Amino acid sequence: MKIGFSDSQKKFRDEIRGWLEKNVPKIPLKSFDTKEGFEEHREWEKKLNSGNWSMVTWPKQYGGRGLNLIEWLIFEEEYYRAKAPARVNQNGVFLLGPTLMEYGSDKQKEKFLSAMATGEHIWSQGWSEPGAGSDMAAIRTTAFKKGDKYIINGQKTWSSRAAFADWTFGLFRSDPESERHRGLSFILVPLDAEGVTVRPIPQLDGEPGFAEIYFDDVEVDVSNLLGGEGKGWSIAMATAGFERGLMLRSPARFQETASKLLSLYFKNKDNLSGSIESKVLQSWLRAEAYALNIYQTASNLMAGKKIGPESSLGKVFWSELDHQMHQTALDILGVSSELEEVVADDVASWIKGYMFSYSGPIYAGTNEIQKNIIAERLLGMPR
Amino acid sequence: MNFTFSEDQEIFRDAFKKYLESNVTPEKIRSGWEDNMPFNQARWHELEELGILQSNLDEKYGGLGLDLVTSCLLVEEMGYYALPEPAAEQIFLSNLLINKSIDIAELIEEKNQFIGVTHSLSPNILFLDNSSKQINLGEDSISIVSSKDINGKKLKSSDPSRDLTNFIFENSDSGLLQTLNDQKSLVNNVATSGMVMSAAILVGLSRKILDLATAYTLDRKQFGKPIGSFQAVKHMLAQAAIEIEFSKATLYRAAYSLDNDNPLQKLHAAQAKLQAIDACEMASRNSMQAHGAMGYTWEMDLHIFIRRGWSYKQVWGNKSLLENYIMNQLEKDLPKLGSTYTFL
Repeated sequence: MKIGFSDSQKKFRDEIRGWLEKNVPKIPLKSFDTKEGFEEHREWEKKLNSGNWSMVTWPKQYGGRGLNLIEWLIFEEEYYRAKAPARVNQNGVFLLGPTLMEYGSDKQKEKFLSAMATGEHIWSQGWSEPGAGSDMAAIRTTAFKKGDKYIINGQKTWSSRAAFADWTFGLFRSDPESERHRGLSFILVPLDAEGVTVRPIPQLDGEPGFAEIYFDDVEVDVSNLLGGEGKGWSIAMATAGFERGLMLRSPARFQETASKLLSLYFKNKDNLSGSIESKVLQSWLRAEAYALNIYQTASNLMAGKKIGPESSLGKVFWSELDHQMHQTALDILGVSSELEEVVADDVASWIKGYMFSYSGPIYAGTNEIQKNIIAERLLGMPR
Repeated sequence: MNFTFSEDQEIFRDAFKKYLESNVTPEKIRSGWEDNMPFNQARWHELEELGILQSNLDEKYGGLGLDLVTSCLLVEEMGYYALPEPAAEQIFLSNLLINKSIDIAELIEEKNQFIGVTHSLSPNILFLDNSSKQINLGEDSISIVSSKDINGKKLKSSDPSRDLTNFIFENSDSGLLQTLNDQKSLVNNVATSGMVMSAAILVGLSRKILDLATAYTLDRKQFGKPIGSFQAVKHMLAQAAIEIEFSKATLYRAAYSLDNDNPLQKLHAAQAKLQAIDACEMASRNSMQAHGAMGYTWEMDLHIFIRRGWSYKQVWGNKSLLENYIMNQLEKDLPKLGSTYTFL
């Protein structure tokens, strides 16, 4: 065990810090869940890519920097420290990208990876359906093969970023006789294809962060099938693993929120009660505990160990922490906390973050599903 | 950055675990309780023969000279099996004092014997009859006392594995062998070490408490199925598993900081102890609940571990003290908070 950064890791930190200081927009971009903001964020992805900073964990052969997990955590720390724009293409970069590298054909990698890296293709997710939420195996949207096409019919929902995105990836029932998790295929669908209708759904903050996608005899080339036909479920599970795990929620964002909360607390301390103090303290402790856990996990992965259902532990932990931190901040702000446009004390961003924090325990598999996974697969309790 | 255990550390830990599995059973612990002799002299000698007691003692004193991360892993297992003998205290308190102070090393000739250590965070003496000498830590002084000259009042702990004696100096030099002054930094160092030690015990206890509950819920049937198949029960135990998971890395970092004399070692130790307290409280509460009325009996082994947690939560830094310390520290360090400072 050697806890601490090496000289080359420190040098890497300086390098990314320098680049971000020079390039992060001085005026924050508009929300990526607005048309204008979405395009601003697409430009930012392009900019990141121009410095070769967009896909840092991807292998060099795919245009990445081939960073290991520790370097990636450093990158994330600097990214949040610099208050750089949120990643509009996180569905692509962190979820589909690694899945493509593992399951995609050379042609698919060539077609999709670089377009993803430059922000030319922004991706949305197409898992849930009206009748298939936590029970994802109940998927009914079909993609039946006809010649060299799949003909897609049905409906996806809660599709993050779909309002403005270019593509979606998801699971479709390709075998008409199949049930549950058998007979599903992982297919990539362009959202400008004929027969696709996207209906944006305004979220709690009023912006269309997700959407319904209707498929009406949509024709997709068979070359858009990822992995084998009928193999969709296991590929999707791998993708969900990336999402729950450390690729999507690096500790830095929670540590930055915790520090911001501490500053807010100390500034207003004289008027606050003991229960607020203990929640502030607990927030900081838990954000640190999450970071330490992720560093240990990253070290273990680099040493060749695998992680499976363990990622469910972290998903519950960070999503509850994020909600508690924002709740506490609003309790400190008191009567001004509802004022969505107030810039002082960052009220606007606390209330927006607070709304978003309600979604953490729901998306990427609800916390109740995660706890079932923990109980059944880690503790060995019966189904 | 390499936050993994070495193969040697894991091998040593696993070998020790094997020993504990067969030699520190609930039956044996209970028999010590019934005889009112929780300290088992034979087992103490076995721990010495295994090298556990001297694991971190400097080689020049006949120890193995291992680091405190290894010690931490050993102590976590002592917690897991609720080892009644104070081997954790020997490692994290008295061995540390011997390693760091030549004066103390010279006064403690028999380094394999139990040396009780007292401090305001843990004022009572454990197992007075088994120690030849005591080390009493004051605010900035350390006194070494001959145990045979100490008279004290036995105290009954809610954990029968803890044989406690409270002693009051009748006059300031009863049994006193030597007082060392200007020892503030060593005293602080030992107090920090006590925090890490008690945190490690709590993490081990929490793991055991959860294991007992999952085993019970597989076995116990109601409505025709194991109660472990019910979601309400699953989610209680899953929540405990989450708390335990997120106490571990914080603990190992604290042990590492202590071993490497990191200037933030006390902060790290306080973090570790608080996370461990949370984990143990959650595990104890939810596991007891999962056991139903059986958990509330003397007959079920669960309480052997739960009551040990009650004590170790309070000694060597309790919640209130640790929270105050951390909050003051954070206020001072405010400009240096945030993810880029995690490993300073």
